[in-house]
Amino acid sequence: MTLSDPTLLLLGAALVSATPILYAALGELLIERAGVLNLGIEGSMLVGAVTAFMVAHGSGSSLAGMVCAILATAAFGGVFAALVVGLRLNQVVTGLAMTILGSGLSAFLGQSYVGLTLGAAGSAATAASGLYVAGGLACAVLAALFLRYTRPGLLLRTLGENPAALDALGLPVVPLRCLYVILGSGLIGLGGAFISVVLTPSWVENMTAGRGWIALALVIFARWRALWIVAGAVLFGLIDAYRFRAQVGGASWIDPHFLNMLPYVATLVVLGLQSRRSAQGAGTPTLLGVAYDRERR
Amino acid sequence: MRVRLEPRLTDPSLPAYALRVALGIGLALALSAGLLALSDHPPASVLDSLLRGAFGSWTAVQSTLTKAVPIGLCAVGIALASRANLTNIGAEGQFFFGAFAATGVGLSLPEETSHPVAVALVLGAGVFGGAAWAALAAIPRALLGMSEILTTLMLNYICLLWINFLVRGPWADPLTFSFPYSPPILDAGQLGPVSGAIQGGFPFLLIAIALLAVIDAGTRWGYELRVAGDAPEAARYGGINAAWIVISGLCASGALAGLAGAIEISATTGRLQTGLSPGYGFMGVLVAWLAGGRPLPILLVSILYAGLLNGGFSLQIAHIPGAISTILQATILVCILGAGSLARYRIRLVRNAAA
Repeated sequence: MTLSDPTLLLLGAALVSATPILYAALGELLIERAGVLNLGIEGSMLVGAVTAFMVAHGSGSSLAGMVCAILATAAFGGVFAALVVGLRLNQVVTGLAMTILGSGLSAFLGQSYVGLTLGAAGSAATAASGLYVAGGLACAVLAALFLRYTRPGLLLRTLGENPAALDALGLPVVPLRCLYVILGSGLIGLGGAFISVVLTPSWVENMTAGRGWIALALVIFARWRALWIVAGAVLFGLIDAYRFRAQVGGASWIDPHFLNMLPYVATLVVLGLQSRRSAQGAGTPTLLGVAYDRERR
Repeated sequence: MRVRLEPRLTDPSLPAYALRVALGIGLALALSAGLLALSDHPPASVLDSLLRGAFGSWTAVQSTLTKAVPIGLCAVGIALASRANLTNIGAEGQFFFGAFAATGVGLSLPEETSHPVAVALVLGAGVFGGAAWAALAAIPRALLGMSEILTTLMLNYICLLWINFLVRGPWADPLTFSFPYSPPILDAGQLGPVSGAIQGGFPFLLIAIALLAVIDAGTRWGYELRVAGDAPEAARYGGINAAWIVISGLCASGALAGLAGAIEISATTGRLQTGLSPGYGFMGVLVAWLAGGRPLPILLVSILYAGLLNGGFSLQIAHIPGAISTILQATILVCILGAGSLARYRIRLVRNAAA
């Protein structure tokens, strides 16, 4: 079987535009499996994107940018964890606040970088984009194996399903949840960094353009399973690549706005189908969004 | 040594609570001032231009009150739904669907329609549109138990794309060229200002606030909402129809957001556009929480929040990054919520705590 060149190109473009969403959705998966609903995902991606661009621009190394982006968003996630896991603030409201904070902080930090390009570091990063794409796929496989076959993975699933059981085993629920929020935020930041360093090598205010919300939708669409997230991300990437090509080519069989609705509509459909099944096996962490309070278990 | 968060046995007194909130605001201001100082903007002058832009002149106050209307209306709706333990984060989508319905009516009414009738129809369409968009989340929640948090959130983005499609496609005004605007609605459908000064939507905000207080204090529906929210089992035992509570609560919440959208169309822009809202629906969530869902605080907090938003715009004119106001919004919110949490819990250091 031979693939024609345009098909291969489309698939390649699809994988590249799927990658930031893949990283972000995998990060969100870890966080939600631990029982925390993180609506600050868009803000985290922006923090990652701006940090990566600033560091890559200053140091000339895109790798340094990526690493710093992971560290910065992990710290940003640490603040969120301290607020919702530590102080037990409402996760929905605090998450929205983190999105606002991330968009404000990134706009503030990045204002003198608007319009700059990365030059050599950018083209090197774009040339290495295959590496980041493969890295995202590898992360997904690792996450799937981790959740399914390892003891810490089992503990992570229990963290979102029945934290009281972990507490009864003498395991520290609050620090564990914080750990996964921080780890997941780092992955989300890597997704943002991919946008500003590899995808478009530049910094523009609010450049993630809603990809965080799509990643959030994908986690639900995938029913909290890592490999389904890959499928969803690739599907989204295909839509994105097709839309881009249709815009360039001028003709499309459907208005691109309706194509953009697809991830959200598909997520609503999956939510609807899932709610008809029994809660067991549906994949939703049953205590998603509920702070753990030992005295109320 | 371990840190433990323990619930307080008694509710904090009002002064103690107010002190914590004040400390929260102080902390937020200190954090923002630190950030400003690090970036060579004198914090005092930034705060000064922020306040000037928000409340410094009669025009600034007018503009702040105008922005408080959509924020406040969305917040009242969100607070209403939260009575029944329903989290509506779809006010942004309901706002835009209300604006869409209002524009649809405003574009199709014959020009000779009388002013009161046209305004009533345009605003009524907004109310209906917002409620209909909320029903898309309310009915699946009532019948299938689908989480309204996730559905209302997803519906936001679907509605935003729909509006984008309309103003760039079928409803694009050929006279505005590349700007994504619809044609203006009929003149008779435009809500004029009250006594020539305050935006015509402001009385609607006051009515909504009063209505929320009345629903809380003296209606069967308000009581049923709260029972269904606080004690679902007791509500079922008492014969309260849970599906009806979910649908009526969320649709009423959406209706208020839709009214806000219609008011923006009728009293501010006169036409549908993608930039109609800088996120009023999401701000409504934050305002409703900051105000603890209580009617009068919602009014005050939405005016303060609108001031912060306006001050941010005036900062940009003064070549200070407007992002400062965005950062301030988020840090104030987080600090106040944190202070509220510390009022309910206390932190204790426990030596050699047993697991």
